[in-house]
Parts: sequence; structure tokens; C-alpha cells
Amino acid sequence: MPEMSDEQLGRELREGLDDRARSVEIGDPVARVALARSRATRRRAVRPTRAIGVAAAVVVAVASGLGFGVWRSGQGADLPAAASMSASATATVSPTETPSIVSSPTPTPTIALPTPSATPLPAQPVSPHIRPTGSSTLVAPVSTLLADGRVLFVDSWNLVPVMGPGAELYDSKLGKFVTTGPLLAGRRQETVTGLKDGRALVVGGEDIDTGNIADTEAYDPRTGAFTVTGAMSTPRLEHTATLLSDGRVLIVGGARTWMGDGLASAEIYDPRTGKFTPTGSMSAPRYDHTATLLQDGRVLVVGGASASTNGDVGTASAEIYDPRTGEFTPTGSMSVARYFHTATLLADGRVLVAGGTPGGMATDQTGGTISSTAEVYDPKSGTFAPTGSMTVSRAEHTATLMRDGRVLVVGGVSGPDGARNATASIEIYDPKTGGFTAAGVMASPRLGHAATLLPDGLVLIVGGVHYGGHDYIEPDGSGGVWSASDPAELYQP
Amino acid sequence: MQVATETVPTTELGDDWLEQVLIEHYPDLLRLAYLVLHDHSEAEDVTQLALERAWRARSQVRSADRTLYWLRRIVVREALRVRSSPWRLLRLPIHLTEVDPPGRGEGVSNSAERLDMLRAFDRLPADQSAAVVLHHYLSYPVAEIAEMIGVPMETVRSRLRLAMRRLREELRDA
Repeated sequence: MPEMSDEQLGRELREGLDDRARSVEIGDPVARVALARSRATRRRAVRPTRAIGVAAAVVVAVASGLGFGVWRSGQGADLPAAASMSASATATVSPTETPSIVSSPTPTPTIALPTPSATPLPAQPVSPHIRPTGSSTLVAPVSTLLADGRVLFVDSWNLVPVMGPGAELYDSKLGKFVTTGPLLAGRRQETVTGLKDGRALVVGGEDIDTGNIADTEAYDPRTGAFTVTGAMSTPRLEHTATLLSDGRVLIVGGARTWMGDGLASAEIYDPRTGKFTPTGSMSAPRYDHTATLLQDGRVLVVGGASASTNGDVGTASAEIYDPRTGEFTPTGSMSVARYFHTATLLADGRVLVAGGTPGGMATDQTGGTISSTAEVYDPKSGTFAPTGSMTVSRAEHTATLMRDGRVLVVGGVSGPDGARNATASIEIYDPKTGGFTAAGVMASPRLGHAATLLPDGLVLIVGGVHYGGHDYIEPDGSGGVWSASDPAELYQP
Repeated sequence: MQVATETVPTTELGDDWLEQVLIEHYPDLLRLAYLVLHDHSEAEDVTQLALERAWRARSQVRSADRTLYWLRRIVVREALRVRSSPWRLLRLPIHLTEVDPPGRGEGVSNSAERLDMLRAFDRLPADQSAAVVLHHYLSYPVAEIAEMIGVPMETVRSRLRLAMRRLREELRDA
């Protein structure tokens, strides 16, 4: 067709978008506003879906040739009675009929989408190493181990529904979560870091109410309260916070706003003074990167993304921060760009980097491919070397070093373009063999969860979301399609 | 410093007034979310989120005449936030096919050119489609769009330029 002038194109757009706007099914504004008002003002109690879920949890020990039990938790308001009551050694679940994610008025898209079943149960038995533990109200938390052995959780993610300022403590001895705090400001995309003096530091993130970057808060487990502490020179979100050997906390990168370009700057918090001081800057801006304390006290910063006109684009670069000089120095690069990856310090001092995405949304708006590859950084040579690949692709997963030196990789988002969902799968990396081995599934798929090594050697897995089920309980019974994964689970090596 | 949700001061104009305003503007907000996100159920989720956020931030409402702007600002920011959040890895590519949503009014042009243009529009990244919707559909000037989204004016201009260039290229190739 002949090339249009700006005015013509603008007019065509206006008319075309107007057509489209008129075609939108409005639904029930009164009910939606009432729901928003009640959700925004009520206390953050256990939601109906969770209450039902916990009540319906069935622990079944089945005598079978394999000798392990099957456990599954009910999730979602409309748990089919048959699924919750039946118990078999194989615990398979038949998928429902034709997948469709859209609500009824809209026609089914012509590509296959993940099944948004009301009961997103794994199709295979839950790993015998996994058992349920307490229930948390947090949806997508970040966590830190406190000096007293308990784990502090605050909600951290940009998710449906709107998060609150809630904080919780997990006590292994009690096996449950207790409410603490709350935060003075609920926020998203912040960090939480346990300090050597027993307190914890919550840094940055976007205030869920004002949209500005929230003040830094310090948590004191003796009082259970959060208080405001020193302010960053450059308030930020999607940064990293790393406890240094000397007890100070290194804050690296991030962005000023959720849509802003990345930051190359870094600063250091001193718990003794309660103040932040700028330190050296990186060679490139980054957010959604990783920062790992090495055995020699330096910090390895890997990957991350920065904004471009085509969405986020990842980098393969890495740099090292030396607290003695206060400077960043570039080091070897990875074989591929990554962000939303994990970086885990191994017992031998090397760092395992796994998964993530290279980004570059371009026109497909899917955030690019998700990787199953992994590489290992050796501080002695300053280079990355490939290692075995994961059994599934993962981003926004967790990778936790266990006592025996192996790394537990949990959840995340997985799958090819067009067939993605949170995964319940687990795998284990063995540095001795340099390979990953599938290790079964959790009871819930999880994306945006937190995984923490407990003092007793178990790994605590909390929160995260999966696609499927109901999170909003609408007056007409319909709801959003994202569900929080609960209760928490423990992995016993 | 934030206080607990229940004690957030109410808007000076009254909570019940705001509730009525939200109900009245709901269709406008849902349509805006849909135009930016190209996906009905995502637009519903985002609009719901925006309503909750608006309620929590209701003490910010000072004057009745800027309320729609304020609400649209929340919706656009939520829509873009969802698209730029870690969730973006999960955004399944909803490519518009020949199937159009039902309920289209009469007298609507279904020309092939119009469909090509809308398909090209759907392939724009969310930050560009938002700029196009706010500028060409809702007629906001660049300065107001910049304030709405929270980016510099030059960023808005460059997104508009890129979007128009891309649309023209795709239409030429169609």
C-alpha cells in the first residue's frame, strides 16, 4: 500500500484503535470497584484460596513397591473433590480439555497455551525429599537468614494482587511462619540482607503506595520492628545487596525507576553508622544481575540487563568489586548474555551461573528465549567455562548451595516461547561431575519464590506463583489466572 | 513513611465519591489497558490492579477535574510495569489472527489495510504502543505523556518516532 504521511497514519491509528476500544467487553464495573476497595483496605489475612488449600491438604502415605508417600496440596477455590480425595502411588492428573486462558467472551486464541487448570497439580509424584511446612501469606518474597537462625521474609515482587507491607519469620524449630514487622513501606523489587549484628537491612524497591523508591529500613528481631535508617545516595530498585566480609553491605546497580535505564553506580552501607556512602562505579549499568561474595572477599557481578528501545537486553559481561580499593574491574565474559539467572558460590570457590534469558524482546514481547545452559567462573583464572546444562530451561529460579556441596535448583519459569509456565521441577548440580540431574518435583510450580539454606541443612522454599487457578474470587465466580504457591516446602538432601 | 493501610487518609472529596468516579471511569480505564496490552484478560487483571492501587493512593486525589488523568496514569504505569516486570518472560505471544473480539459495532471498517495496521500495532513493544495510544488515540501532548509514564520527553518522542517508523515499514511489507 502507498506510504502514508504521519497525519494519515495517525488518523488510521485513531480510527482503528477506536474500533478496537469499542469492542472491549466491559463486565461489571460496580463489582470490580467494590472488590478493589475491599482488597485494598482489609488487613492482609490468610486469603480464602489459601485457607481452602491448607484445609484440603492431604498427606497420604501409600504403601507401594517404591515405598514413598504422595503428598499434594489443594489449591484454588474450586478444587475438584475427586482429585483431593483420591490417592494413588502414581498420583497422575489428566489435563483438562482444550486450553484457554481468556475469559469466556473472548474467542480462544489459535495457538496452544498452558492449561490454566484450577488445580495445577504436578503430573508426577512429589519428590520424597520434599515435605510441606508452614503456610505463608507472602506471594513472592525475598529472604535472609538472620544471625539467630530464623529466616526473615518480606514480599518483593511486582505482582497481582497488590502486595502489602507484611513481613514474616520462619522458625525451623516451630516449622511455621509468624507475622512480624510490618514494613513501614510495602515495596517491590527490594533486597533484604541479614547483618552480622543480628539485624536485617531492607534496601530500595518501589513503594507500592507512592510509586517512589522507598526508604531503607532496618529490622531488629529483638523488637520485631522495622525502623528507617540511612538513605541511599541514589535510591534504586532491582539492584543487588551483598554482605561483605567486614559486615558492610554493598549495593550494586539497579534502576532509579521501574522503567528507567540501568544504573552503573554502587554504594556501601555501614551498619555501625547507619549510613550509605558511594563507592566505585561499574563499567556498565545493570539490573536483574547477580552479585556473589567470593572466598577472597571480592564480589563477582555477573550479567544483568539494561533498557533499550526493544525492551530489556542482557549482557554477558562480568566485573569484580574489590572492597579494599573500592573499585570495579572487568573480568572474563560469559558465553551468552544473561539476566534473571542465578549465581552460586561453590565450596571450591568457583561460581556456578545458570539459566536466565538474553532478553531483547523485540517484536515478540516474550522476553526472549530462556536458557538451560550453565557456566562456571573461576576466580583464579578470571574466566568462565561451560559446564553441563540443566535438564530444563529456567529463569527466575533459585540455586542454593547445600551442605554436601551440591546445588539445589528449584522452580522458575521454563519452556519455549508460547508454552511457558512456572515449573515445579527440581534438579541438582554436582560440582564433582559438572552435571545437573533431575530431582523430581515440588508440590507446586513456583516462579518468584525464595529458597534459603537453613542451619539444619534443609532448604526452605517459600512462595512464588504459578499460572492457573484462581487468585481473585470475583462475585461471579471468575477470577484472575495467577495463583500463589503455598504452603512452603522443605527439601531434605 | 507509610502507615498501615487502614489508616491512609481518605481523599478530601470522600471515599464514596471516589468509588462512584472509579465505576464511571472503569470502561475508559479497561479500554486503555486493552489498547496498550493487546490482551483482554491481561487488561482486566491490570485494570483491577490499578483500581486497588488507586484506592490505596486515594489521598493523592486533590481535584475532581484531574481525576481521570490520574487514573489513566495509574493504569498506563501498571500496564507497562506488568510488561516490564519479571513476568514478561511469561507473556505468551498473543498474535492477532483473523479472529477479532466479538461485539464490534456496525459501520466499522474491516478493510484489509486496517487489519494489517492493527496487526503491526500489536507487534509494537508495550512502551511504544503506550506512547502511540496516549498520543494518537487520547491526544495527550508529549509533555503530559512524559509525566504520566515517568520518562523524559525525549524518550517519549523517540518511542513515537520508532513506533511510526515500524508501523510504516510493516505496512509497506504487508
